[in-house]
Amino acid sequence: MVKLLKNLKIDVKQKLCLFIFCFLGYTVCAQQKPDTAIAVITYAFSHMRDTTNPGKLYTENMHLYLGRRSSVYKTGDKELSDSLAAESFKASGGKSINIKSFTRTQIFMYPDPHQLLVFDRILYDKYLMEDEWPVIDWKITNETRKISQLNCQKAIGAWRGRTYEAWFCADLPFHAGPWKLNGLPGLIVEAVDTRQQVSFKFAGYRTLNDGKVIIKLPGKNEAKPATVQDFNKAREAIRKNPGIMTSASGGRFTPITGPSAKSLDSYNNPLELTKP
Amino acid sequence: MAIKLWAAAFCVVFLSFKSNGQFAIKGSVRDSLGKPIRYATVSIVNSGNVVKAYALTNNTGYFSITLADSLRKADLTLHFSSLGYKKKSVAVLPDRSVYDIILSADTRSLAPVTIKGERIPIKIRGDTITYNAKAFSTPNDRVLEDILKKMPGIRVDDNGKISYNGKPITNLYLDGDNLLDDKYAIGTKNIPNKTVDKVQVLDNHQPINALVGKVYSNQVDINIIFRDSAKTKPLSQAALGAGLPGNYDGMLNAMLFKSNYKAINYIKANNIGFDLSAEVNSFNLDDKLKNIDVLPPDALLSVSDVSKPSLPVYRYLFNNNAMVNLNNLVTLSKDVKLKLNLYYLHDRQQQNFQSSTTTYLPGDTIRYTERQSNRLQPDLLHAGIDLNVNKKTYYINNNFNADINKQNVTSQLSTNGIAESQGLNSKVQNFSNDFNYIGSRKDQIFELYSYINYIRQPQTLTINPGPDSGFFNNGVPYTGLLQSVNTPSFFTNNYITFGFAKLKFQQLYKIGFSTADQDLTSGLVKTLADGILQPAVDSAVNDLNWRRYREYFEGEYNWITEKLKVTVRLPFSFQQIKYSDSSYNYQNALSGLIFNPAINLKVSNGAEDSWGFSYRNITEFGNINDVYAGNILVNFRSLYSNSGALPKSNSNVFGFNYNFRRALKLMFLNLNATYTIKNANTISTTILNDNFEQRIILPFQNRTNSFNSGLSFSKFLFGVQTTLNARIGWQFDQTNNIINNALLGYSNYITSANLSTDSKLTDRIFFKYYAAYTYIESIQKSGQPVAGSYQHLNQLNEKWELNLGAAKNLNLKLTGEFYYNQQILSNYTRYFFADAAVQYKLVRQKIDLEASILNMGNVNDFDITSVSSYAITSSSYKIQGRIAMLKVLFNF
Repeated sequence: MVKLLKNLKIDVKQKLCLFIFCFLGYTVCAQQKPDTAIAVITYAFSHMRDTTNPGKLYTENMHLYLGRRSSVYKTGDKELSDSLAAESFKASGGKSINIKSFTRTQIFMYPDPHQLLVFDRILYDKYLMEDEWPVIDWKITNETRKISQLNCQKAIGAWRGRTYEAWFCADLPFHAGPWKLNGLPGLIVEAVDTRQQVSFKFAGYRTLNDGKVIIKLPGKNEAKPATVQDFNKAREAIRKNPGIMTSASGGRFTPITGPSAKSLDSYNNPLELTKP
Repeated sequence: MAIKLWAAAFCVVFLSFKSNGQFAIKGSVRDSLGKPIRYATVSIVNSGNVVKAYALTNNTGYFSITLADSLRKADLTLHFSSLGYKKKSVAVLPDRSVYDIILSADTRSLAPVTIKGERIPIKIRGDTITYNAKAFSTPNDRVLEDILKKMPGIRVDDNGKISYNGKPITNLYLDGDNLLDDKYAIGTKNIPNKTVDKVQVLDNHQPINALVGKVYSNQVDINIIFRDSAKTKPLSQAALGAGLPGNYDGMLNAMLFKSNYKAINYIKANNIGFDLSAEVNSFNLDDKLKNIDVLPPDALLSVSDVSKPSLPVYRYLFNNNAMVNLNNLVTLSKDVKLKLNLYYLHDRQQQNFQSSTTTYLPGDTIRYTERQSNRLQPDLLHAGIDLNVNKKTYYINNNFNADINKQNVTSQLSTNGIAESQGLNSKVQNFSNDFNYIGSRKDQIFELYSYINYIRQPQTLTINPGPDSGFFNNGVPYTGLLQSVNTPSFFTNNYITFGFAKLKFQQLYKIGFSTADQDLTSGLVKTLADGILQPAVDSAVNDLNWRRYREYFEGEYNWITEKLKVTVRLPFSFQQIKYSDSSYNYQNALSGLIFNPAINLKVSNGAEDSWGFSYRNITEFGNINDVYAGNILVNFRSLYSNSGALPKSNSNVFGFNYNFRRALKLMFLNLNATYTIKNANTISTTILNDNFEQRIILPFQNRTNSFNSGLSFSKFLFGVQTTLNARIGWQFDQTNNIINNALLGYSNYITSANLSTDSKLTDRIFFKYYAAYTYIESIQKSGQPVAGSYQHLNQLNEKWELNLGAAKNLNLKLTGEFYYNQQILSNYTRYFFADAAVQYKLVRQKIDLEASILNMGNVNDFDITSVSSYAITSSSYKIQGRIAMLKVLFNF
């Protein structure tokens, strides 16, 4: 009882701190006005998550929405899914559709103040975190190549433990690229890491003239501010102990018949090999 | 940071020294008004249109590009570009190093371009939570339930009921098909976990296509996605277990999870205490019937009112049961499904227990003892057929169910030292049909609903030789008593709903009627020594006719904003109740308007805090079992009757809850409290004599209060990889009782504290601990003082579980359970149960082996004491002793 009360007291303090923190956090974020996306590039993302199983690659279509002042990088499969959602489950009567998990992370980049914000979730809780702006020291090569109909040139640069060979298109006047890659004199159309473990292959480009897609940070009520470190710590704990939230949220003892899940699919080869 | 600064400084120095080998191009980019253009691209391109160097303008529009000397003589062009401006190209002149450029605005949007690439062909579903089954599976898991228990947010109760974030699920879909309705334990306790690919939690799931995007649903469902290999061919498993002393456990199943045909069919049998009827529990039936205002009559007669021991069922159940269970669903055409569910269960159970109850009365203390040895023989037969059409514009569902539940009990009884034999036969026949049509157009909804239910449940109870001859036969011994009772009932509820659905405001109007037509016929006869049958007491028969008719109109309003969710329900109903019994020449009718408003308020206090308030007013009326005037012998010791007055009560229920979460810290806190004030017009009165108890319901203004509160806290401790849960609860209720004409008021208090931890010691060793402590107090507050005016009870329950992955396919599990029960200092009981199991998998042969010992200490009896307002009951049960089992499971 006493212990609980103590915890409560701490909570009040934490709440206060968090409140101030939230306020500060949002004054920063609030500066970023919504931006209309004028183009979207799609990448076929593939990632060898487990080096002990190099044949198994995680794949997903990723979209990079490009605005005049900002860009957002997020899954392209979720959108497809939304259009299918209504149909598939009920209408098809559970016809065997392939279900594949998709990335929930969204990366918002604002080149002008050099601000990078990551929107992510753990189960139902959504967070907005500010991460270091990737200043990549690109080495431009003379190699050129046509990707689909786009004239591209190769540049080499490193970020967080991997060296990427990126192909940018100077005809597309954006400095953005897949994931956190950015800063070339034209849109990065393809990028592959030199270990051949991560690749963002070109899968389509389209201008958007209808103004329907808005690049907008999630609102106050949608995402809570957090630090990348706290977020990663919580996510790692859940990944290693898939059962912990069961009891954490339920508060009841459920005898289990075997060891709790050993771990998720092995994930020993993250995108970021070095920490900031 | 410091390193970066040093690096920058070093670069500056280094570059300045190398400057003789390089040359720089500088300048600025501005718009036609002279304002700097930030973050514009400046690139230097050679004649082959290859970018040789580039820079981006800074905050003030300036740029600087350093070029290698080798390019000094090259034919270079400067390209200036920025979104929203026209591109500009300027040739690099050998003698010019500063370029101040003005770009003119380009109001046109980008030239429409679409370039196709190759996409990864995948299909994904909407915003549901998907769990990867493999991630939660361990070699020891057998069935779906084993992995569900480990999934975050999902809770599986001991009886198999599943909740998600505290909310019970409605259905379990198998690849989108609802094969089992709310009897989903058939699935979770039988589907092999290896066939499951994904488990999806569909929160706010609207299963009716016609209502998708129109009516907000707070229903939670779970959908199981099978592995491809499981979708093509039938799956089968056979298990055989044998053990000592004389135990068996067997199973044979066949399952099919094709897209157009789903089936779970099996036969099972065991005598190790695993109650197969637990697999056919209807988890949502009670709620459903309550919602549609159908109250099936309770079974009136029983052989005993001693409650079951507070242990897991398999510890105390002596059974011999077998079940055939067939569940098949066929997709007739797109959106049209037909399903058939059938089961038959036969059991033969043995119960042995003894119990003694001490009742404290003013100036008197009455003690009852009983010892029973019972043989129960339940036979359950169920058939259900369901046709479902689920299209975008309309929905039709018709469900017909038939249940026949037979139960024969023979009981050897010794009550206050007198030996009796009892026989109880009951046969419940229950038929129901549920029809639902929903149509929708734009934001309007129309629904038609009809429910019809017919129940018969004849019961007879015989007791030989005749008990309490002083009461029933003027002190002359007699052969026996026979109580028979039947309550044929017919219920129907029909309504029409109109709805107008807007995003933030929804209105639903329901109009309908419900009826309950019931008869209660009963007779209590005694067989005299010479074989002559006579009514056992003065009022020994009932021929009661009951009819309740209700017309209702209900408005429901939902107002949803980001911070606030308000639901208001305003149900008005006009009710008529008529009941009469010709044999007592009485007839009663009452009618009136009932208004039972309910309001729910939820305020989000930031994203991780919320509080809620609720208020409900509930008017309840008694049912047919509260108005019969003739005596009914409900068990060998109790004779019940009523005064004829219809019980009516009105309750005001206030609720409050507060939720606090810091999900990132894996910390959750929840506080809730409920306060109920209930005003009733009747009271149940009891008359006790040395052998016998009579209960009569009498008119009496009876006001009671109750309060219930709880605070729970949970946190994951990162350092020690442990989840910690703690809960404290406090509840209070106040009751009035009339016993032997004395009005006694009591206050009961229950204080409880729970603690549990769940630790991952290493990748292969897991440990769980659970402790629950309860303190119960019962204090007399008013009326003549009685001997036991203060009762209390201490209970402690602890559980330990250790899981050890000894080798890749070998697992060891040890569990311990401790029960402590103390009524007064000297009167306490302590029990310890220990179980062990070793599981081994022959992966290639698809065979699982298991050796287990349950109840290693061979505890054969379980004694426990419980207290109520004015009575203490001590019971002793015979329980399952040590069982050693060897089990083999084959997968085909």
